[in-house]
Amino acid sequence: MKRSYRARNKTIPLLTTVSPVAIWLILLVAAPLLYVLFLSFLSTDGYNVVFLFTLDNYKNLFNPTYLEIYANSFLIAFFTTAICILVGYPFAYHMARAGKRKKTVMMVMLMVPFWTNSLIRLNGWKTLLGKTGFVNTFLQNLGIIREPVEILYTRGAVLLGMVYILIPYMILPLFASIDKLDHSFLEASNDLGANKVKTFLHVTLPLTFAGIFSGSIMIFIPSLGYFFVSDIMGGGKSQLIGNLIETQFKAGNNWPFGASLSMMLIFLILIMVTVYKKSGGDMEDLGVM
Amino acid sequence: MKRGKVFLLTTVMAVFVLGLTACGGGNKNGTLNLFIWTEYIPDSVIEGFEEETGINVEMQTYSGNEEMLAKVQGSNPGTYDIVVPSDYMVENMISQGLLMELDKSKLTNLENLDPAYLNPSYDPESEYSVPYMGGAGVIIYNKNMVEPGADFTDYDELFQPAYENSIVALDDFRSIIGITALSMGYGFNETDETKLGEIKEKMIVLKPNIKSFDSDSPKTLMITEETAVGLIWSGEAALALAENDNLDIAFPDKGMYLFLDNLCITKDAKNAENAYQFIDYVLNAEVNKEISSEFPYLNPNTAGVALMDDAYKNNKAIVIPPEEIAKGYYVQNIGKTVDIYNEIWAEFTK
Amino acid sequence: MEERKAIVEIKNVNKIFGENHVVHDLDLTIYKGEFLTMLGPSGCGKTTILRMIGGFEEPTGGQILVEGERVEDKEPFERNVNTVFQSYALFPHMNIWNNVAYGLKMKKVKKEEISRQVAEMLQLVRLNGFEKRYPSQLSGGQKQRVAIARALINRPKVLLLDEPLGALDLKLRKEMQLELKNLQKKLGITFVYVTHDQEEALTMSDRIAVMNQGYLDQLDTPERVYEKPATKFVADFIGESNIFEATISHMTGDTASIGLEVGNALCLLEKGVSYSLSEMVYACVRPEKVLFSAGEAEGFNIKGVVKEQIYVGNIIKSNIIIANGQMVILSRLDIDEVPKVGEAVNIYWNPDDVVLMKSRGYQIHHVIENASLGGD
Repeated sequence: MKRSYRARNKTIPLLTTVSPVAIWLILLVAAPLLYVLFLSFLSTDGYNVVFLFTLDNYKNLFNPTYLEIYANSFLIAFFTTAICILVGYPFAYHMARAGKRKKTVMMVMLMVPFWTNSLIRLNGWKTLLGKTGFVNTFLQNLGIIREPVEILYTRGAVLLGMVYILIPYMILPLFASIDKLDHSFLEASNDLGANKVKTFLHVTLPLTFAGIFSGSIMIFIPSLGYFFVSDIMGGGKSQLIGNLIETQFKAGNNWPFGASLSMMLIFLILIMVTVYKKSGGDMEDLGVM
Repeated sequence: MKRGKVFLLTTVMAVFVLGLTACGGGNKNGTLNLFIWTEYIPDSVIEGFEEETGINVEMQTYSGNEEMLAKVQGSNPGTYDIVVPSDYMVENMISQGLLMELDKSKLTNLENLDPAYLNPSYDPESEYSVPYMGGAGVIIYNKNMVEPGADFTDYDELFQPAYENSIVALDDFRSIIGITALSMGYGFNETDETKLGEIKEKMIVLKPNIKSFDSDSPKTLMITEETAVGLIWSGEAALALAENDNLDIAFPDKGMYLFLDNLCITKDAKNAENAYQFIDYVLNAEVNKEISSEFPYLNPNTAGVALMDDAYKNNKAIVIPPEEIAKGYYVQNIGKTVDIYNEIWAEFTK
Repeated sequence: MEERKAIVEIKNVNKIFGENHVVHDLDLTIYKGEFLTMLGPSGCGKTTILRMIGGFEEPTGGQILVEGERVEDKEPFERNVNTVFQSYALFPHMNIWNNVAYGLKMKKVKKEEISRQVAEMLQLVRLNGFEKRYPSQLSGGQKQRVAIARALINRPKVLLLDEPLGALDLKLRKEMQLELKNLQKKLGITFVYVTHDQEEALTMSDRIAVMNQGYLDQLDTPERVYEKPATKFVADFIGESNIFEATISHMTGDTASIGLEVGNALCLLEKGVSYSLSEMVYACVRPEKVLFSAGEAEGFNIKGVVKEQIYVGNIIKSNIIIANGQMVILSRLDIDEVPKVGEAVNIYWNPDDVVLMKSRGYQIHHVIENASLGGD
């Protein structure tokens, strides 16, 4: 009797503090995910979802055509991530080492584009890169090229769009990890005989690896799914996993298969995050916890 | 204390708003619950109807057939009186028993419609649907950029190697697979697996010619001469033709890909009589002219089109000859065959 | 005593950060093999001086020589000095072995040689067996020793230590002080040690440089710094002091009678310093040198009342309030005679137990004089 009274005494305050968050999580995270999981085991009659259990949607994932799309998608995601690291690192480094004022300016430069819808920004690129766009006209006027160069609707354009949309997600975690890097590590390395380059390779780079990794996860995963970038910049000619999923939920009207594709993507993300954690990564650095 | 006050205020406001709606509902000639695409009917038409009939129109909008279907299925029967499904959705809703069989005697203005739009594949006797507005998948091309003597009334022209990387097409797998099938003499909604295999083979020829799939604003690519040929909706084509004089239009012989949105009354409509009145009002030539002036889609209302100005009537992408429409095809539900279509599309765009 | 050889010479060095003049006209010679401590409160410029020697800051003006060679423009690793950082700055992604080996690896020393020297160094700091551990797995004291080993493996001529014991608890700090001192004696390397802890400075150093707001106030042995503080600041900062503002009222030979706010007192004049009548001075008396009696001592008439007594170990501190409200501290061993709380006493002292210091006014005067002569 006494015991249960005590337990209740403890649970009620706990519930009142936890439950709003719990409800929020269940409603906005768990429920949709469970729904997608449930959906992925259902069938379709070609138009409507039928409540008939099947594993076909998962079998279908291994269709050779789809495998090629995944490969293509991974390739784009890989290069997007690589370019974001190469471009983002110097920027983040510079920003972390800049004075307060410059830091603010750079941060604002980074954040301002966020205030505009990414679709609009991508369409802006279209007017710049088109045959009669600014870049081609400019190069033609300079006499560097005679005929307009095909920039838009190529894989390169898709890559550019991905990098453009996603690079802040690389710079921000990188900035955080470089910024919190104790300057005395660099001084110590310098003191012990390493010049700037060696110090960067032996100290700065390994110590900011968490930032690189979390940035990479935050870029790699969305770049598998950002179908609109492929649609706008690549003319929808090369499907990514994201396009494939989009097609299933819209024109293709095969929600169960779209759901199984989504589950696959979620599974991939879980694997990546697990690898990250196992390799000693801090979940806080991912900025998601 | 403070929280209590806010709660009280909210309650009072809620009661007040409910009261207002109730008053609206108590209008002497009743209400009409209209569920229609966003940006698809001018406010002036709604106001005109309310003024003329004393019926209060409650309008809600959607931006996709599936969204509309989900809402209709998810709410109490009779929540919506009028819905505006596209062709294939009409077929689907009929099969699910969601639409009311129309009493055509109540629609005196039906005769304003071009017969080419009546008795479509999705509603063979036009028992459930009244055509509202639509579009056709036309071909437009830049006279300066295509081969001399090119004939785009033949779909096969699109497959010529000369048009490498110079076509903008609808971002819609049914349209690409459908027209490829038509070019081979097969059905637009082909379900024969062997034929679909051949269609897939032929599409490989088309692939290098596609520069971009764009259903949102393909006109831009045609206007800026980024692409030489476009397989696009007539509405977009109309705007492109008006902007760039080098462009011309072709209606393929073997029939165009059509879409048509239809005014339908739901099976359990609470205000069916009002719904009839509304449909008839929209079919009225003068009213129809008002709609067409604001939204230059393909308009099946001959009487309404007749009242339009010359710029409208002379735009070949707006006023499409009825015989071309009669040859056209609507997307049909192809059952599980859609999985093959999906695969073909994945193969095509991988 | 043998001729001492200079190893680091700092000549007229100034350092200015923006609008902060952090180091003023510093001249300082550090000798080979000595343990020199830079002592002062935070913000006094001591760390900046260390960083300038180490190569992490460039002097705004002046010269720094190591072994007679100018180094201001050289990289840190091009000077024969190494630094032990305040936070140790051990590389968290490397194990202890790699941390210690870092300097040799950068110099491309042969692998076997690195192994031998790392082992030797870890032996020296008693950390053999810890090679595979990571810094996060070590205690504060162990980290400290790794940091020292990592610096010493480069065979520096001078080891710079920036508050190396600041993060340790009191007991460990005492142990490490001893260890550091022994290490320095054993290796014969010059240590330049920065701290704000006067006790640490007094126990470990051969010489102490007391820094005050960018100025070097005093450079002397611990005994001298304690016994004969050169400025009020030094007297105040090092040990406990009773400091009285006074004016010189009378001088006979090397003894002066000085007038305090509350009475008169006697003191010995500093040799080699000239004083004038009515000059403002500070008189500094250490608590253990303060004497008391019931009646007035000759030449003294400072009266006070014992307000309270505090026991610190075997020492009794009596706080005596004098007429102007100033608290005079008198400390005695508990076996000695002490006044009672509430008792009225006369305070006096032995005239040669007083340190007379010129007041700030004199210093400013001195500076103006020099400036007008165009000198310095």
